[in-house]
Amino acid sequence: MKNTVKKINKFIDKHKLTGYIFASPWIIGFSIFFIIPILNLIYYSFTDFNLIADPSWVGLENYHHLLVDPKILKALKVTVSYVIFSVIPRLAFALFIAIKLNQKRKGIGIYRTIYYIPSILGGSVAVAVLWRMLFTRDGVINSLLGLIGIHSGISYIGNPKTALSTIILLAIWQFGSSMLIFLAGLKNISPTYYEAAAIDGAGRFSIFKNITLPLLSPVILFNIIMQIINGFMVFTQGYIITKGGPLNSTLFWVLYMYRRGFESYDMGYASAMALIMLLIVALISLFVFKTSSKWVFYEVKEN
Amino acid sequence: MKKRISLLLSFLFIVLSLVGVSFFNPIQAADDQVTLRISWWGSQSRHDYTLKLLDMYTKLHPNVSFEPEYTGWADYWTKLSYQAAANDLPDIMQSGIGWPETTTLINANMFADLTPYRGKELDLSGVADSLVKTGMNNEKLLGVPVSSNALAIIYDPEILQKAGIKAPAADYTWDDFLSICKTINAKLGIYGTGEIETPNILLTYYPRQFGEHFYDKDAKYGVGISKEVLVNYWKLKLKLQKAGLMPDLAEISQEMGVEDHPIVHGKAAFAWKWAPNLSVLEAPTGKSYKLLTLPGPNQDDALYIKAGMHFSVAESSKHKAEAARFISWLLNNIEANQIMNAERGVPADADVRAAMIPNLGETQKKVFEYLDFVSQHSSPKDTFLPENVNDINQFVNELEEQVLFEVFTPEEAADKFFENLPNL
Amino acid sequence: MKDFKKIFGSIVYHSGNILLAIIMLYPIIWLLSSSFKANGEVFINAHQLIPDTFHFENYRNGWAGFGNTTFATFFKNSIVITAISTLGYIFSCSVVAFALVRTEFKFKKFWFATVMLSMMLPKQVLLVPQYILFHKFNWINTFSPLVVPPFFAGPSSAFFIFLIMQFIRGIPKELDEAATIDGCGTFKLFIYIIAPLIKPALVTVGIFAVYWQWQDFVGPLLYLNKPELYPVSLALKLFSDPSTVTNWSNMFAMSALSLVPVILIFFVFQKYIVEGISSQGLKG
Repeated sequence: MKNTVKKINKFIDKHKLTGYIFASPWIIGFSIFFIIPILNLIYYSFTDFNLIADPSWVGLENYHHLLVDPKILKALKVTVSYVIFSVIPRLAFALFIAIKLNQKRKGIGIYRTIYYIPSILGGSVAVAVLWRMLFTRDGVINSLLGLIGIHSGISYIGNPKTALSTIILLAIWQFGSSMLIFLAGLKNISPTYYEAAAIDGAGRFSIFKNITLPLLSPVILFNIIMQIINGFMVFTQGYIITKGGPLNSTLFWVLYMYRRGFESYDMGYASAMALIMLLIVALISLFVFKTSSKWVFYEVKEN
Repeated sequence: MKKRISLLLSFLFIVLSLVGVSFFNPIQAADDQVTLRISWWGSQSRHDYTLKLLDMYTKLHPNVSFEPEYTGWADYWTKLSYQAAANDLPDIMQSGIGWPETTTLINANMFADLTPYRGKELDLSGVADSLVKTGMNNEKLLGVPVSSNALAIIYDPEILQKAGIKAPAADYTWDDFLSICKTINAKLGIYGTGEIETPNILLTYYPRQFGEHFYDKDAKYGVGISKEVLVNYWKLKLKLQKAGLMPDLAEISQEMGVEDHPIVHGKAAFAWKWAPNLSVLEAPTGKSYKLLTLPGPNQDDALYIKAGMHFSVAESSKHKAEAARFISWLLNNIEANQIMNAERGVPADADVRAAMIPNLGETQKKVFEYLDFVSQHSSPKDTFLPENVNDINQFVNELEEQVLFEVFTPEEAADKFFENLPNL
Repeated sequence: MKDFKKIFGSIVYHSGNILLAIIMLYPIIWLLSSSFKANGEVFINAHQLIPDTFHFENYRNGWAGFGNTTFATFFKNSIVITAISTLGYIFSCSVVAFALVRTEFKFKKFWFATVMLSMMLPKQVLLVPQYILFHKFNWINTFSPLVVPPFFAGPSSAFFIFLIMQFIRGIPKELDEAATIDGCGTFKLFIYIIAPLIKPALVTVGIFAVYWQWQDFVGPLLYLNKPELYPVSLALKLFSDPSTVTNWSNMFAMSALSLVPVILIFFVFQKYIVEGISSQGLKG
């Protein structure tokens, strides 16, 4: 018995299988639950497929159509501005609050919970009703503005100039999940660093700049990459609150894709859109990863 | 630590056994025992009474049992398309033949032709022929209408009275309607009307007033409306909006549901809705509204009776006859319809309608009477829809948005429409 | 003087937080108040935060559910689905993350790329082929499509793997080396050294996994046909029908109730993030 165990261990060591064993859940899961669907998706993108009847091969037609569809450009523009204007403020705000909440004070757990609550509401119908109520013509925001003497008759969600901003505001308001990740990251910084800095008599800002930021940088990188990816995937808010309108001013890429796929039953086109999105996001992520070697500090230098 | 690992392992075991169990098919019941999968959309009350009806039917026919699958409206169609993709549709489905939601399912032959069962398992003798036709597509009976429905204007008589206006006569016109709205707006400072809902009015009513059909089998690209009529419609809507007689698009798009209509908030006198929506609009305020036909000219040519909804049977169903028998019962059984209480719309069957009239509440009475009136003053519904109807509808909506936000004039938008029609 | 400064600082801190808390809490208060309003009142008195009369029956009527299936069933289903899949995520993602950071194997980079790429495809389009796949597995009408993938590669696995990886990268490698010299194998290294050090990350993963699974309705909508199997997230959708009546107040009542477990879990576990064991581990 012991011998067989030893033999197995030897075999594992010899073939560097330990890593494979640890990685096996993903390798197995990816092979079953992702590879087949992704291959299907690539195939669909070259077909005319209405979800129900069998797909029929059309070659590059969907991709050709992508190039001339004016809404594609609109959707890309809307999505990119959403990503730019929501990711940075959201992360900055989440980091600021996380640092403020990363201390031992009375009642701090309650604050943390409260700040997380908007994220829990996510994209539910209740949020849709609420957001409309806040930003409609005689809504709460305009009432508050009225109190300080600004009388605005704008229905922010119904106005093509401001609709996207309200969605961006919603994203910033739901900063809780990024905050949580930052909190966990801050906790992972060993207090010995801070103790050492305190002995050196370092100031608050210099501690933040020289200790907190570099040691938090892996988590910051995570949040940036994830926010960019999730930003490009934005769908629910546009779907339930603005329905892509007015004048397509909140027609996010995935929302347009969804419409083509599930409302116009054009799965071939939707699949092509998904793959183009994959390409764009992958390139941007790759770029961020490449630059990250300059500013992300890992305890372990990887080869 | 060991404890934790064994805990993890036991969880893995549970999961794997779950997987294992699901690999076994449920054992088929005895031959004459039939299980029908039935799906519908609705809200709480509909789910409750429909489940009761299913129990009732099983008691009457012990060999039939049901597997109900019910959801909310939007999710319903998502789910059906997935089930269709896997060829796993329920036996019986609440549906709407001639609705954009079902075109793809129909084109893919997902609904069974029920003609062979007509007069046998399926008793349609009490349903008006024009109503039965709403369930037909290419001579096939793909859906059985269980209720009838019609467009209506719901109005608040109190507001009209306050503005010193008499209710319009049945033969009033668009001009009359506009002048009434103007008076209300001038005297009370509120909108005259809620939105004139394009998907219903432009696509199905307005062109018929002028002898055209928005979707026309014989027209080029299946679209029969002329530029002139389309331009006039958009001009009309733009005029209403600019004069403050109708909420603008920014406000309309904020409405959360039927019960959020300006009439409920006392901000408008008229609501363009389906007649049965009367109860939804009356409920929040406790007010009593009235029903009115849409403005003329030529209302009789333009108005139509349509099915409130259909019930369809899946082409893949192995129990089509049993399914047809159940739908027939739902249609003809008086007791069942009394439980249903016209929640799915005014019953399609004449005998059922007659039996229900003595027990109707005030709101329902108004709806029944209105539908009776319309059935005498209407023409059959257009049934043709082009294959790319969803794309065309979406394009019309977008152009209208641009008209109402004044990006395009009505003429420019109409030109764009006809220009792009071949590419849709 | 020092005391004064301290008290003043504390006042500024708390008043700032309370102001922000009000902004953050407004929606919950509004949701709660709506859940006590009469059905038609939801829109007519939308701005009113205190209902004219409290309709407690919204909770009773909402809880009653549909036919014979009450929200007790829906909550039970949610708890089962969420508990199993969360365990699956924590287990599989920590193991995989460890492999991708601290072990060497062939095609490691390739597998890391698949982790990242899998997040860059919109989930909506993957659902169709996945649905057909699970249908072939005969998994329709079981919890399997919802709870099995988390043990391997579920919809959120990639996010969690990447998250845990970033935390493991923050742990000094000297610890590994010391442990290896002490005769620790890779398995022991993971269980005794790394796992305790990344507890804040694991708790974070747990909180997210619970919340995402709890509110997901698309999966349940597609894979579960029998209402007896529905989780709360999907049951909430059964109140609304825009073409006729939506039971808004019952829906809001049940929405409010459905948030309670998620908020509780967050409140209980956020402590573990901040009072993480990591610091003590490092000192040892």
